[in-house]
Amino acid sequence: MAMSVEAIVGERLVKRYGKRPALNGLSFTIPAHRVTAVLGPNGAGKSTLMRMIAGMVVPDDGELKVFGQSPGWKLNPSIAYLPDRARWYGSHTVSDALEWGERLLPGFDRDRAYDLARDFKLDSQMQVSGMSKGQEARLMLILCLARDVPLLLLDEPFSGIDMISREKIVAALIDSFSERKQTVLISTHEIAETEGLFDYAVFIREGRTALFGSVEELRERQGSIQDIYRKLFEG
Amino acid sequence: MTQPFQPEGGSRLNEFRFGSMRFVLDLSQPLYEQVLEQFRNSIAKGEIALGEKMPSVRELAQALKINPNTVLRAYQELERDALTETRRGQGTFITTDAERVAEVRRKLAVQAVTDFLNKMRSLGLTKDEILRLLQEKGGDGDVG
Amino acid sequence: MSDGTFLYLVRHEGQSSVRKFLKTKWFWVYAGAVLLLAAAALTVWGGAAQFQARYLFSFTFILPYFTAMLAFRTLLGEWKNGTVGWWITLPYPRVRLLSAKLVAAFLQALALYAACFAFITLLILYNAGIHGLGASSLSDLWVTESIFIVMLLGIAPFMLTLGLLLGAVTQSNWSPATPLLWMVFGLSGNALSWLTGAVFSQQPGTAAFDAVPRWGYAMLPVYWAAAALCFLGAVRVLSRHLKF
Repeated sequence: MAMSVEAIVGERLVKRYGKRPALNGLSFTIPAHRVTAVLGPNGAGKSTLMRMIAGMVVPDDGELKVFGQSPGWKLNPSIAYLPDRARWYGSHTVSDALEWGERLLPGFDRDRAYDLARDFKLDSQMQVSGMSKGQEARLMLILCLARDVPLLLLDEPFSGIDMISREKIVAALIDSFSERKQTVLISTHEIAETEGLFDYAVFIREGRTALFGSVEELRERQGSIQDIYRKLFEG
Repeated sequence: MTQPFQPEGGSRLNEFRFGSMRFVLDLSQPLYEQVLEQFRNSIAKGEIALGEKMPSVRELAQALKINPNTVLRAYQELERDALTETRRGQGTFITTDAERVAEVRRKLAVQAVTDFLNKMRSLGLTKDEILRLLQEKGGDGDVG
Repeated sequence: MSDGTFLYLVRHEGQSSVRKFLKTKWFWVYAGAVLLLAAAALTVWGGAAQFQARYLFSFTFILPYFTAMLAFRTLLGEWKNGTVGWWITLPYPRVRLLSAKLVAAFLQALALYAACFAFITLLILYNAGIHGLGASSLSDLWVTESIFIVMLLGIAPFMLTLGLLLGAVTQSNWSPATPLLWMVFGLSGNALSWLTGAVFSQQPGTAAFDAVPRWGYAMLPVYWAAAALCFLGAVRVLSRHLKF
């Protein structure tokens, strides 16, 4: 699979929190129109990277370009971002949440959102404060998937969620990939259930790129992504 | 969201059943090749009938839990091989050309024999030993 | 950001906090208890000669503090509720996002002031009724009330923006400066105490607007300038210096 256009380019990115650098000279390219996984242990810098792309965090050093531009609120109409450990507004119902998306998020398709809510078995009058973690996660994913935007950025979408919700989310992602030509970046620990979804993978260790490549090529040369992950990060 | 081809009870991750065709993906090998080979074999064996409708790219991707892109690549290759044909608005179908299927079956058989002979030679068997072995073990349908 | 979008955002800000607060039954229990106690106290002591009903307005000195806290909580609520990632990555400039919070907090403050003054007015009327005080005693009461309201509204922008700035600073690289800001909060929230003294030192029946010295009104533009500075400071902190 030829890597044509570059959607996101990072050059020697650095971000320090106190003494410990979260990103320590991270360089990478994320290909456009492909599904790329960002993999690595906790503290490797995955979330910091996602936040940088979404414009929440400014790098201390290095350069980051998303679609050729610097990240920030001006670029965010093109980005559907699911934050790490995100929650939703407890006082909302499902229909309030979808209204929030429709009013404030560019590219939000109301019909698609309600279709997804139906697939996810979320009743429009359901209160967010009464939802399980899995239901809340599904709702937040709708706010991202219902948007027709060039970049989908999911930070740990499967974290701490029950199996049924995970399966529904995977199914919704496959549907989305079938219908749209989006650049997708997903960071996750749940590699076993999701490695079939990825076109590319970036492995991050201690704030640097440990390995990057087309997943099919990596399989040919080294084995499954899970195996590669274990080899890279054990010990 | 359309319903995928119904996985039968006890299906595992990355497993797919379609009529008498059944395959499980090995994640430690490239997936595109596996999907392609599985379909080629099944078509050659007749596990999928001539002219039968193939699952859509999305349906297969859902069943296998893989990226639709991978499925699409395999389907495109099958189409190039003339093993399948896409009819606009209706979907993708197995070819009705029995000769084409026979050709593929022959190709696969030739490959299997070639592999077999290479293996025998690497074990050091002569041609006569191989033939004798074949007659011993060949028989009518009982192998092994 | 279109006007419709801005108004929606303001509405959304208000929806999240107010609904929750009014739902708690303890709020109503306490409110009811205070009302009863105050009424009881007035019944017993309200008729005494030294008592002036307008003393009740001194309770409003706490309102500037509440005002700042309203804004503080509107902002910090995003962090506390885990929704900050959604809010801060909205495709709008920080000025707009913060303005929406400011307006929402202001509207809530207005509701709070209205409730407090209604409360106090009720008590005063009750007191007048119980002790048979004439309508003339009430006329200067309305004037006093108006002065307090005007002053409260005058310093509200500053208290609100100070609350926003405080909230922003606690989540930023500038967080060591927080105690300093709390001091400013403590001192400036006291803004109405001088007013109380000034008003109450007057004889009942004096045209109460004259009770406020000239510099009292002159202070207001200073407060508004300070409010603008606080707001810009909060925007700045939110744009460049947040700790994520």
